[in-house]
Amino acid sequence: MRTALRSLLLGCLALVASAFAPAAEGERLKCVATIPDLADIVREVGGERVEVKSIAKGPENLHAMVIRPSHLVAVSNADALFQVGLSLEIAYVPALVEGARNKNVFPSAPGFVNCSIGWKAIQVPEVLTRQAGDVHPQGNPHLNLDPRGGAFLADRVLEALSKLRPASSDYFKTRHADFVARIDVARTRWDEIGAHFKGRKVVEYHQEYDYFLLHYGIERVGTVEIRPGIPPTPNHLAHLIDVMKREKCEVLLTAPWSKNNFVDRVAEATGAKVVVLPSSCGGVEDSETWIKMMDTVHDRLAKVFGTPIPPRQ
Amino acid sequence: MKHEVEVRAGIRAGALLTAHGAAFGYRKRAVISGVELRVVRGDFVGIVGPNGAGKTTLFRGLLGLIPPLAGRVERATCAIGYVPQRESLDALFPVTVQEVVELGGLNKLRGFRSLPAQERARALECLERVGLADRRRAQFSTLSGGQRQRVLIARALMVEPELMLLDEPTTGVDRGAQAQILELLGELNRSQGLAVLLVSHQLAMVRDTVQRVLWVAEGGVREGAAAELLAPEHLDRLYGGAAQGVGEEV
Amino acid sequence: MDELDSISWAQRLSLFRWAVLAAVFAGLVCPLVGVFLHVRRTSFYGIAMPQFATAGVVFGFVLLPWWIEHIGLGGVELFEATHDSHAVLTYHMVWSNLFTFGGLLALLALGRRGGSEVGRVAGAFAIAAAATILFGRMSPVGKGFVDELIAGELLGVGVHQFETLAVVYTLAALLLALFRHELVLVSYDRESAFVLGKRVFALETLFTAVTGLVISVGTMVLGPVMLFGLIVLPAIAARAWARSMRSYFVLACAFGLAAVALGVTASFELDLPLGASITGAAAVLLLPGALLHRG
Repeated sequence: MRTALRSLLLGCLALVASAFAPAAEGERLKCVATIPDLADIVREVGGERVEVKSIAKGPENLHAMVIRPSHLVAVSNADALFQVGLSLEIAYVPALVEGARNKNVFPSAPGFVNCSIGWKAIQVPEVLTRQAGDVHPQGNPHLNLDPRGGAFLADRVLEALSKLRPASSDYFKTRHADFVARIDVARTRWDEIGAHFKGRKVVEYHQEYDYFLLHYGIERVGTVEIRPGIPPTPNHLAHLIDVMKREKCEVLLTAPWSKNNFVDRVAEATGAKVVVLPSSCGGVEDSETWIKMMDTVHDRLAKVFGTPIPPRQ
Repeated sequence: MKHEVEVRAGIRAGALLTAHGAAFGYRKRAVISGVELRVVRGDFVGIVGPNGAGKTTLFRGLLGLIPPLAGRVERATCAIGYVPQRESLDALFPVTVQEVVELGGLNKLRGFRSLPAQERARALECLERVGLADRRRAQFSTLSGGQRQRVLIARALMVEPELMLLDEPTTGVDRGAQAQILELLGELNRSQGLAVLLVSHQLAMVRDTVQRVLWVAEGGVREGAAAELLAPEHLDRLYGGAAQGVGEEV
Repeated sequence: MDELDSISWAQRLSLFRWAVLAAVFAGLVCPLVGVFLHVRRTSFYGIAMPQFATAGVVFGFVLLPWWIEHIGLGGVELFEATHDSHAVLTYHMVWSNLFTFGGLLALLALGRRGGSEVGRVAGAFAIAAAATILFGRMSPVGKGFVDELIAGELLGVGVHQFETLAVVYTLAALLLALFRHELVLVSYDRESAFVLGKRVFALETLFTAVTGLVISVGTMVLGPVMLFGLIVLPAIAARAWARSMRSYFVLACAFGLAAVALGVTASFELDLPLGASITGAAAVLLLPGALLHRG
């Protein structure tokens, strides 16, 4: 009887202790990513040694995410939280981290991964004021839509995973190398497509695709949004329409979340073609992974510009 | 507002309104029962009784606004003029005197649902009858209590009624206005044979006007001549008795 | 902006003609409904009902995949339906109408039992608002598309939305005009209406249906703020000056049109959002009556 009780007590102690013990190297690393692009890249680099959940699903406005209880649960159980940074997730990540009360993902912990560290951002404001709308204080955060962004994010993910699981570092490096190699192959195709984009003119609803546009020398003549986060007024729309006609701009880029009446009215008034591009993986059809998403962005633009579209690898 | 009042033409030779063993109340609970009544042309009947006895309940039941819980109420197919309590009409409506009276002629809508000129002229006649034609453009809510009551009588006259039911027509008006209203009703009763059924708790005023009285008290109704039931010595006896058994009025 | 000086009023009116025309229709018809709601002391319905309309639209989104699979939507595929809300505008408007009408009927039915009207309407608003959020979580499209459809920013109104609004609002205005006398009687003196042999329940139902239509369609095309503003504010402004029911209706429409004219001017001249400018103008038009203590 005494032996049985002792065994039971030891078993209980072991169970309790295991709840507080750090995850063993053999266990999968529980990762949460703020956007599906990051989730895909973490999956690519982490392989079978990670399990990943994404907070955003794809079509949402990433600036206006609404947190659900399931997000809080996921973050509270996570070993790592991957975010883009550059204030893209400023509206909800701090509250999520605080609410989850998981020390693994506190800002100072290795599990709190800001994937934009080291990225040279564009459109960093000189003066910060509310009059400028919801401007990002650290610059344009949509680096996931830059053709170079995938490889950059993969490097940050590799660093983070290797720090969290040193014993799996070689495994992660192999997977990273394979992923980057596939990106390189895709980029050859993208560069071929993008070579025909230089000098083309577009209008965006929101400045999501600016990295992409800059990379290929596509000129943005305006935005439908008067300023980030502020819907257009009649005069702004009238001016935009006038500019589009003068500049002979015939393409209007919008994300799924911003395909609205304003886009339709501008397109109707100017005869421009509306192109719906994903703002993250899963935003449109055929964009489930980062490479596929970029393939789709390139193909849709090539189609609307009427430029050649080589087959995908 | 469903009602189960039977409407039959020519019921009981000359009767405009009859009630047989009727009971009225709310939520299946009778406030007043055993009502026996017959109203013919030229009748002038007052429904009186202590506060809370069930006068209004009886009145609403006879009008058909609430269904009888027992017995039956029969109405001849004649036009019935209804004059509600003034306070039930919201002053937020910017209706003019003429507009209020014209509401009584809505049975005669024609064309693109406009009131015919003939009916507009009738509305003016009805206003003249009650002595308020010069106030036809005034807002109803700006009139005195007595004037408003006369306007509502004019509205009731629009349907060319043979029977008019009035709910507390003299409440809240000064004695002079009360006298005017009762004199008007008396004149209509005498000259046109208009049957009048009115609810009032101002016994002294109605005593000299009505012929018969329905005394409502203790869940029942007692009918009698006004001179008899409203005699002062009788009132003392009745009020003393009514105080012991008060009905419920909603 | 120097470039704006080169864009004439005529050009702006041409560019935004459907939005301006929609506003004109709204400025004429919404106050008619507003007059009745005001005198019946049920203006708060104008706050709660757009919320019901919104909940209806969101519920439609929840049901959309099942609907397309089992019933169909004129050949529109699920992807198109969920990525182009205008392709299935009629579908969304039907759900908007159903929920608005249902909410109104529920409020009327509960009203017969007595109790606080304001409390009922406030409760209805809370329930509809919560339902909107919950349905939004369940819909496959996500909050983004729902927000866009129900935000109904006036400036983005196109020809199809204008046509829908014009047809529905014209019908509403015709019905209100046709039955104006009976509706006034039923609103003013319900018992007398009954005694006069009017079909009170049918008339109340008619008014409910018209109100529901105006609100449900207006919520999606005009947006809740402008809709509520045009329903409530011109009626309040006009009441201060009205000396008869007839003049009340005329003045309410006049105030509605004036709000539209002033609002469009302010929007174009001061570069302000169109819907909010019209609502603001309607509020400003309250001032003369309020200051002169009329009504």
